[in-house]
Amino acid sequence: MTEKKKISLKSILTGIIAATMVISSGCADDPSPVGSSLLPRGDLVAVDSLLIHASKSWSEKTLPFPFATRTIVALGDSGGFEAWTFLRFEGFPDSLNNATFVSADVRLREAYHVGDSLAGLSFSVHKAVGEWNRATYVFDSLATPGIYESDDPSRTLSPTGEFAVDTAIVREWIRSVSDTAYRNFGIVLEPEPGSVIRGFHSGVLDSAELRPTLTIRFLMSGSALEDTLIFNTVTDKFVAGSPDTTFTGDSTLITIRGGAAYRGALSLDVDTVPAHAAIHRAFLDLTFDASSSHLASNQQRSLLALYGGVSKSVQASELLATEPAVYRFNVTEFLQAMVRGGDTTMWFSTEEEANSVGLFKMHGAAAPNTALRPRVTVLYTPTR
Amino acid sequence: MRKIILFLLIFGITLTATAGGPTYSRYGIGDLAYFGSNRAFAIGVLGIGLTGDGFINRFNPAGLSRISLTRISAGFEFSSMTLKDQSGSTKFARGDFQSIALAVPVSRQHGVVFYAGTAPFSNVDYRIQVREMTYGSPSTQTFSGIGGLSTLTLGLSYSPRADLSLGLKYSYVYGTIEHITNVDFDDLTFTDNELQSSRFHSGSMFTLGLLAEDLGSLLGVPALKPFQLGLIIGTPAKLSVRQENVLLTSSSVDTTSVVRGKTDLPFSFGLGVSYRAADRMLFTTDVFLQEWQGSNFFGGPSGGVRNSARIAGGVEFLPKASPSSYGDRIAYRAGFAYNSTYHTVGGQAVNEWYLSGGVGLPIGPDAKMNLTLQAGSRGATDGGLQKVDFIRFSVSISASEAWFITLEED
Repeated sequence: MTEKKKISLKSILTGIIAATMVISSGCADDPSPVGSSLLPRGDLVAVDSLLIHASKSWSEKTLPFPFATRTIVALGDSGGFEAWTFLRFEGFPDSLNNATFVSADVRLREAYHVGDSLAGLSFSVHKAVGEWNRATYVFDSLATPGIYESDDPSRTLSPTGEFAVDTAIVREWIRSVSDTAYRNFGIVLEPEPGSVIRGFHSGVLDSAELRPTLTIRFLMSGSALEDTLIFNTVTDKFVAGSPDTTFTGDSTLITIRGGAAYRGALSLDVDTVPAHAAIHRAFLDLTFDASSSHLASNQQRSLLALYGGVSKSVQASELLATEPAVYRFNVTEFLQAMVRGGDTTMWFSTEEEANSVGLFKMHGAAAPNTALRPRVTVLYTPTR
Repeated sequence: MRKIILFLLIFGITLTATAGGPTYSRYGIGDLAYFGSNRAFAIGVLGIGLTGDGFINRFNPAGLSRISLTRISAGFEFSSMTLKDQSGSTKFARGDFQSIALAVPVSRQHGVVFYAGTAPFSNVDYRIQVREMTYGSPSTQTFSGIGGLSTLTLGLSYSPRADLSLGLKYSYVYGTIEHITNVDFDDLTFTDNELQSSRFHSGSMFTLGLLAEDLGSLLGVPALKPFQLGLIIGTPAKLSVRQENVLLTSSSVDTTSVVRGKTDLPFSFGLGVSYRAADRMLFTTDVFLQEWQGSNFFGGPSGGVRNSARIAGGVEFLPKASPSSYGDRIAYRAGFAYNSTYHTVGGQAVNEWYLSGGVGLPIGPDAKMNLTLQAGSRGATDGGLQKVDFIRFSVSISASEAWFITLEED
């Protein structure tokens, strides 16, 4: 009888497995529409839309840029916006200590211009007498005396990008190599009021052909043969800004400019979006004001929208083919964060903000023509 | 024996990987799990009018009173469903834990038996996918739900007289039901998202039971001697619910809201009658009513609800009253059930019926493996309903051991 029982249990287990295999066979892993008729229409995701206008807009000056990101030095003045250049050539041999200098010329290679391309670029070359910190020296630091001598005459950049430097200054740089009584702080190029700002390739570039160069012509002691040395090891930077910053509070036009740099900002009142809404799409449209903008000759027709605390904190704009031009940003993630109680302000910068001083003016929250004001079209689902 | 239990555990757990089921479970607290005992499951009934030594009656605590040895019981249920409606059909299969229970006799003389167990109370498991045009963009919307409520139950039976037992059980009802809505837009400029709405339930309810084993002597009518009568009353309960909504996108996870509310479990009443035709044959039937009408599910009725009624009947027999072989000790069971469920859709009632059958196979001195097969249908393909044809296969073990029994020395 025991044997009979064992056989029965084995058969039973086999039967269980077989029955379950049969029951489980042909089962769907993927969901299907079957049963959808039981869903009330109200349970389906229905997207609502609304339009939000910016409640406030303004402009702000940004923090200094990291030195390594600056591949341009800009010089010039356009509409009251000034760009100053700082240059310090290095790598001089002390064998030139007793040489007689015939000339010293700096050459800059232009990358772009902002403003009148045909206008001359006038500026003064000052001997720098104090340390200008690459990282922290900014436009506002110019007001602090002791960095440069300011009684130098104005000069104009040649069509080839050259200008002369006082050989006495160059001699001090060379002497500083072996004599601590001399210092090499370089030169400061101060723009004269004008109508153009030019951007030049900076000393951080790998290409020696594009970097700023200092060409020294000299006669060695006892020699009548003029010799030439070209130096392209240079530490440089530029600072830019406007002495008049009243435009930052202007809410009719948003100023977005690299180099200085000024960023646009706008605030949104998101109270009209239901508190727990799921944002499916939010497009922000900023309308370009061509009459007051001055883009760089190589400027990308694109802006960046910036917002903190989200995974994609930078959104590039898409330029819509409209007149006037409209820059559209996908700010879905920003809006989602705002609806969740996040900061309701977003910022705008130019592409290549550290280098390009092109000026974008966008219609702001108080633009007289309401159709031109910043607006966000939101598609959302109210969640329960 | 241990190998068999281990095998069934692993087998059952593995099977739960496949999921999906009737859309009806989206509403209310899901599909209600009616499980009275392994024995009753095969007969089709809840076991309100059943008592005895060889099984643990989870539904009627008064039915525990005849348990003479500590008994433990556990089971799994595997089910296959074919879902049909006007749009087509699909199949799902899943495995679910059925119940685990322990009954410890404290006083045989007074029918005092302590009971502890856990079992599913309801089950939510569905997946539906819909294509919709949403603000000019096609989207795929997937609705799914998982989870359900379970009970942790403590019970006690007591027999004030030989033919009458009373019982009380306390059930702690708990569990999470999660509904998920996923939207996937074809247009890449739209942000897809998923809303996960989880409701965490907790609450308590009581069930009072009565079982009269010999109606003849109780009522003084000898003709009623083979009849047993069982009654249960379940108290209504208000479950505390904490709902947490989480919105997920490809780049963020936001808890959008945490809300508290209540969900009602209704008053219930059950009546069961058994008739012992001979020593080896038992007929039983029971009816179970729940007053769902007007119940709130976290603030408001979810879909339509109505009062539910379940009626079932069946038979159990042994081949011989005095078994001499293994085959003689196998219990054969068969029955039917009709369930007027608490769900209505658009005014259409959702009803269910099934046939059941099974065997109780002896696997030890006082242990049985119960195998049950149920086949039936719920709903319809017209009237906006969904028809669910199902087969359920249940495997459970019920075994006993002598605990806390003092043996008298000769």
